[in-house]
Amino acid sequence: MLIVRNLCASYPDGKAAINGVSLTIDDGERVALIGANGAGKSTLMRSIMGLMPAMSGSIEADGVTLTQNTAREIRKKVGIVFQNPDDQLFMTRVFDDVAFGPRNFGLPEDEVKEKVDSVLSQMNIVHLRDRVSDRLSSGEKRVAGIASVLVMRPATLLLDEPSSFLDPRARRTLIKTLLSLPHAMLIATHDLGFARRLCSRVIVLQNGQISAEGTPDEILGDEKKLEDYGL
Amino acid sequence: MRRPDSAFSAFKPERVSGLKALELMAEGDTVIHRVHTFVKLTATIVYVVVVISFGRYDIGGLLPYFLYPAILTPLSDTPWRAVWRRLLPALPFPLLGGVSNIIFDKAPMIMIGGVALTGGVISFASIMIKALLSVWAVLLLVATTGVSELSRQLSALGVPDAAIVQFNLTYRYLAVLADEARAMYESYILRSADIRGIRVRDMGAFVGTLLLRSIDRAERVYAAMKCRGFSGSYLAPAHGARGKIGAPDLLCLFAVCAAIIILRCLS
Repeated sequence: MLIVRNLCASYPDGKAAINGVSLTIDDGERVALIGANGAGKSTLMRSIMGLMPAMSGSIEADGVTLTQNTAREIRKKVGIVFQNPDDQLFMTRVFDDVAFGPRNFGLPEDEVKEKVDSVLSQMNIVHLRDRVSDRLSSGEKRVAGIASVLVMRPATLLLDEPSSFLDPRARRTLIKTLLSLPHAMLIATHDLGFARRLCSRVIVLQNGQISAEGTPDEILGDEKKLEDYGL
Repeated sequence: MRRPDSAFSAFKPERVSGLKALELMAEGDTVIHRVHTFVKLTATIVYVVVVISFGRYDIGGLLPYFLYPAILTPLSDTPWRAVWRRLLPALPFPLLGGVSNIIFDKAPMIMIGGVALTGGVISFASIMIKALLSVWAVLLLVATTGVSELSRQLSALGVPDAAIVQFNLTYRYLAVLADEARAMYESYILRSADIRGIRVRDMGAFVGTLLLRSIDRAERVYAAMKCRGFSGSYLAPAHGARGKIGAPDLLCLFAVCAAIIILRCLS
């Protein structure tokens, strides 16, 4: 379970980015985070991962509260898939990219191999195991990026614009893949159809604050309201 | 047709890219790949130190040192084209550094066919040759060993983790820089009909933007690394990592280093 309480965070120039955001994501729940550009979606995700210091408020994942000392522990419980898969895949081969996390946590190489092969199989990308990361298609890179996070067995996944760069087929495949995962997810997206297919709850972020929350039908079904939210 | 107005028209960032290709070459299985990493690393360090130790007018002494990389390149099945493409981007730096010698050192040193070569021209050529040989040797080391295995060997030699991580991140950063440079160059060239390369007048803005973009990108990559537990040290198991060093390896190291040093003494 991920709990964010009254979180406030600002950009390095001091401008407020997140202003009093509170949200809870239950185990296995998939929540969409929508909002116009600059609404604070990516900043909220970076704050949850401890990449941006919070000015006030708290973040708790599976009973562990985020502090400077627990950031590493939180990153085991919460995994983030960044918007651009090229930022996520930086090793030469897919195997090494997926193995990067487990190796950092000091697992023996045999266990690393077992975990990597297991997650590649779960994501149906065993054939990409020894491929050069640079030479994958956007869809393959996206799935490999997700695998590189899933291998660490997080309870919660944060996905930043997961459907960007994808063609319709890769997008459909991604939806199917995400639906098959039991993880709790917070999905920041501009792709409202994607949010509707995947999520049972939608949160609207506007100027760093939550301005609406409800089921996909309640939030996405009213075009007038979406306009008001800047969408 | 309008001619390009750029002194840097030969500069093409795609020549810088493909650093990962060097790591892929390191997965080869030639006699050079099989030599122990310690031997290759030590021989390369000795070679570079000896090459750099030559005086600034001593071009003749440097010439025999072309043999080392020229023999290793075919022996390691490293394509000449791949070496050349990765050597080129390194040459503008000594070129810019050495060109001042031509301006300030105008004393004639030798006559060739009635033409007097100044000390500046000779020392400039010497700087270029030293740079060429050093970068060539290091490229061959990476292409036959790989960055992961080199890091492992440096760690075994007692080099501090911080320095090894610095080496690794710098190497990764070069790949990020090359990616960004390629994207920017393509965007530039698509909007610059009849131009080959980047105009001198656009070079400052190009390099400045490239730096900012690559720093941004490097920060995002670093964030992704931190989110997967990176805390300052990472040693990936290397392809074909070697165990203990054997007598043949030591003999090979002795022979190569002796040849490099004897040549230096003879010159």
